[in-house]
Amino acid sequence: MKHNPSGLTGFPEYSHQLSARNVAQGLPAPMRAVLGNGGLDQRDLWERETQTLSRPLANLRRRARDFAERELAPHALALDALEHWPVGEQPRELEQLLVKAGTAGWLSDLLTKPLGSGNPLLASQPLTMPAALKVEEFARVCGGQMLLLSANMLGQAPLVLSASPSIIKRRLLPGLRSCLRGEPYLFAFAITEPHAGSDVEDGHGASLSKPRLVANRVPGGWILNGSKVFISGGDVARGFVVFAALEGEGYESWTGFFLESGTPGFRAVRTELKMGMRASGAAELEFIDVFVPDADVVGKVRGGWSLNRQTLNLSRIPVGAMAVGFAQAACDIAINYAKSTMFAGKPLIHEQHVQLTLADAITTTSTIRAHMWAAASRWQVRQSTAAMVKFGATDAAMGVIEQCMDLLGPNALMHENRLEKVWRDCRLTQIFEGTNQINRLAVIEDLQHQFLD
Amino acid sequence: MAMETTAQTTEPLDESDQKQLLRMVHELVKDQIDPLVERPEKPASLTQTLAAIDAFTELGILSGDDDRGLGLWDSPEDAVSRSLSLDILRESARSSPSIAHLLHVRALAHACDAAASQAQGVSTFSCDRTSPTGGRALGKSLTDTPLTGSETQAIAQAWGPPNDDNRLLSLDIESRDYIWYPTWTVAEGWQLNRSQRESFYNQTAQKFHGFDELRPELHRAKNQASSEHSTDAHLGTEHAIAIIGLYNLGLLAISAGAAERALRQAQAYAHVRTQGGAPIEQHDAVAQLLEQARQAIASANTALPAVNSIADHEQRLVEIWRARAYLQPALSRVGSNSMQAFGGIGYMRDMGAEKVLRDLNTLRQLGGSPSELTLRCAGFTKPAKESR
Repeated sequence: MKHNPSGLTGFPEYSHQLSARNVAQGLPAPMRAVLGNGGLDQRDLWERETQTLSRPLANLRRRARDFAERELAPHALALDALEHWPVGEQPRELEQLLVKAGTAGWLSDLLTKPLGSGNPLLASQPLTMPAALKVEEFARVCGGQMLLLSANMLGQAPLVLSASPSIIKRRLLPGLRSCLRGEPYLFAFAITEPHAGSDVEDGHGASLSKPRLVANRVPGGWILNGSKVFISGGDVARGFVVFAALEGEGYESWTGFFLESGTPGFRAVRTELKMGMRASGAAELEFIDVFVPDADVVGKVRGGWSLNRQTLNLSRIPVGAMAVGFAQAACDIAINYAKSTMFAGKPLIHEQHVQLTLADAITTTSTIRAHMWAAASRWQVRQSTAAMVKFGATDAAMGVIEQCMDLLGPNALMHENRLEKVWRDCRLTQIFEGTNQINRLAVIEDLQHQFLD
Repeated sequence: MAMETTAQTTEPLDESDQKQLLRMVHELVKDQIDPLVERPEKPASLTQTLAAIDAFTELGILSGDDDRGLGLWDSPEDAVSRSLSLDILRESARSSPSIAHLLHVRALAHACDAAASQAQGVSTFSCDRTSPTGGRALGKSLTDTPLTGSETQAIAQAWGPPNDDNRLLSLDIESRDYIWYPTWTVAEGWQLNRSQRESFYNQTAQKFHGFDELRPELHRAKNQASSEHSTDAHLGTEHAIAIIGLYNLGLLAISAGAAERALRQAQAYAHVRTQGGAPIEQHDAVAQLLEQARQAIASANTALPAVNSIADHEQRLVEIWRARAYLQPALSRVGSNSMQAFGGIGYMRDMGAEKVLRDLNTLRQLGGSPSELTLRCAGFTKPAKESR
């Protein structure tokens, strides 16, 4: 294969008539105007995809990438390598990140101005699309910091979905304003129960399982006893939406309750030592005779299961976005490696097998992004739609990352090269928000009416 | 083509002796290694690990200078002895893949020392570089077909003296006096070289994907000119090909053992964790994951003796690359499936499932990644010899 100094080996030079770059030049001018300039458009793929978005969404995507590279990237590797820190001893870099993210509006943009910090021009957009764009860019740079910021959004979602003006006004908006003032007030969403992770992710399991967090009726409110585990951001959140079953009943009685850190009897006991996403804590929450007033019931009493499911339908799309971000990170690392590593006197990227690997990785990433965007831009998110995006994107992203790791060989195992961290971070996306097996079954559960005569 | 060794003192063991030895290894692993990995989130200390390794030396698994023949890679030219070595590695990896790998590289280094009649100092073995390692050109270098200029350049760059752009990766737990590693030059072809550790700039990798018990080090030669690179012992092409083959065989055996560990943990969990009123092992979603894992392990355990039985060094090397290219992703998937069966708790380090998976990922990249091995095999276009 001849080395081509003005292009990659194996392809015609840019100036050659047969070059892909010049294909559009052979068409009549009116048709070029319709179809564009083909290969002459030298903007990178990311920018060209951004151009397909509306202007407010494109701006949001650019702002998210800028913030991620400026504020998340510098600490990504160091935070990942830190010893495990106990509850209440968050590293200073993360405290500063939360302040910066808060004042920049990244912690309060689930709602648009004037309620939140989102661009009012995005008010007509489904909540999931801006969230997905942001999450992808943050994940591309650091999974742990992304999760710290995104778990907050997950905690806010059931408050918004409750459509309760009182809850939103009293419990959500003050937190959003606090973030904008530079006093981070994070929210957490607490559903997972000890030894029952998947039970609360699908209806069949829940119908046969015994709840571990139980609410007892008392005058003026409820008393909660039990525990929750693996609660993302539960160690630093100040506002929590927790789901508890009513005494003597099953998950069908699940009810959402809002409570704040510092409520007597409620505390984050510990955080887990995790494989990846290490900048975000997964906390165990303990409830001992915790009183929650009636006014802080989120949604209806016994309406928690619906609220939980609808929250998951919204949040599984951003999980797909995380996977797209991780896959993009792997592509970027592999491309840089292929460009900067010399092999037989020229950069490795001139090798055809490397080009084939990168083409696969880029194409898969682009495909799962297109699928995710299509789902994220719908107002009506069905269980099957969200679950498809979640397991489809996360499984495919892991494949991309592993392909890129194989390209780097032992180099991929070095922490400093970031790829193995991307792998560890992304691996969680196949597990949380329902394992990918649960999500597969969620697709069928939702579509079952089509399969029954 | 027989590999000459200078220190064969013992006849290969008969079948009954082999079983007895494997039982002893099993007990040794239970007594010495299992306690080291009881807390997967907290790697054993250097002292503890060294004590376990000493116990292997005392049993003769890692041979001393006077009793070669009973232990790992003591008679590498003998298929039965190789098979026993593979069984020992797999058994060790069922407890700790990283310690199994440590035994593997130390035994290979010892085999090289013995073959080169080097009794001085202690050594380790490394066969991994941090840059591309030659692909098709490497496979072609094992044939009689002349290499083109760019192929020569590619292999010379990949396998010359370790330098800034292409460092040597060793995985031991402490500094050894010497490192054995393969090189390729136009004049000599494949060789194994022994260099003093002090002839390298050595850098400990701050953090590594797997093998938490080990200390990965990157080495680059202080004098990088190939003609002046400091080496104190050599073994020729036949030894080099044979030892690289053994390294890869051992990696597959360790991976199979590691995968068995992952599956065993997942099966135990799936038996006791209930959902929907039944153990999760009875749900198709989990049963399928576990069965896929069994299939991959069975395939690896079938491939190992088949490849091991090939007498010709070059053909055996290519066949083990071929097997690893196909099986390493499948064995990584065993770790992944097993972790998936745990659900969220599998992501936590104290469960151990994620640790085996990281070790399997590490093994996948050592000795050539699957995509690299595929290219190497594609480059080996020489007709297969009648060698089985």
